[in-house]
Amino acid sequence: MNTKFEQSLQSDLRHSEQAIDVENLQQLAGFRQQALESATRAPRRLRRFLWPTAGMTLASILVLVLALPLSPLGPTAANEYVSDNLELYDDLEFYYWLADSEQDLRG
Amino acid sequence: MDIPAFKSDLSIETKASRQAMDGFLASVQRRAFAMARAASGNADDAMDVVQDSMLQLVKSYADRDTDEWRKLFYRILNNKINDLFRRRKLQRRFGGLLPGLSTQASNEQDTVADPFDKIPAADGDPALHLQRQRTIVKLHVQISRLPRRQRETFMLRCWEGFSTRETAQTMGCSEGSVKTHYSRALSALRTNLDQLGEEDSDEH
Repeated sequence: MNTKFEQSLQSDLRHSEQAIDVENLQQLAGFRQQALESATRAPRRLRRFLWPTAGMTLASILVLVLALPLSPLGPTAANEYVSDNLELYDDLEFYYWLADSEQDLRG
Repeated sequence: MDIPAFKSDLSIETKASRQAMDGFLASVQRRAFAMARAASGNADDAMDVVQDSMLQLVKSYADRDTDEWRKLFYRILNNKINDLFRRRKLQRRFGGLLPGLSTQASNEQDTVADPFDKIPAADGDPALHLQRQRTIVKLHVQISRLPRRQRETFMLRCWEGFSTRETAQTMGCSEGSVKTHYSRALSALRTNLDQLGEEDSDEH
């Protein structure tokens, strides 16, 4: 401190620090512990990232569960092919008869 | 300086660094609270400011070198005080629209002088003690009325006892700016306190 005025101000200000009562000091000590706890609790940091990750995973699973049962319901080329083939097998005897009768006519 | 130097390069997870941080916070908590109360004029707001400052220092800068903690802490403290002033400005602007805000803002000034009733009496003359108490109240009020940068400079240079260089590093400005702000702050305080002194002597 350069001047007497500054020294006087500093002295008064530092004296005013004594005005803090026990109740406030206890509160300050509590804040101190709280701050230290917040740093030493590493899982809390993990928890911060865990919630969004878990949320995204659940949302993805939900979308998959909802989306997958929809696909067999719609008509697809494979389904049409299978149903056509089934009709062919149902009428197989007719086609045999048709082929035989054509051969007889030519014969 | 009142604040002891803590030498530890360990992170906050270890017991030694936890003790170092605890010791550091214990050494600055009184002054930090007194500074925040002088700047804000309200003990509850000052408590919030100190709490937030402690949390931020530990969370963000615990792994820094212990020699840096003081500057970092006071930078955070000043930022938190400025945040408080911004919130108050908003409250004043929109306080009428939101119930509860206007009454909170109007009550702040009423609490300015209350904490100083608890200043312990000196061993000497009670009249001198009373006079000092009144001077401190006036000083705190005048500090709260200083422009932001002047207030910050004054609190760091005069109250905390930082050098011009340390103050500049804490505030993130040049040493020339610190000298200017500090000189203006001292000049304003001297003028205002002298005026108040003259008014008091006129009353008596």
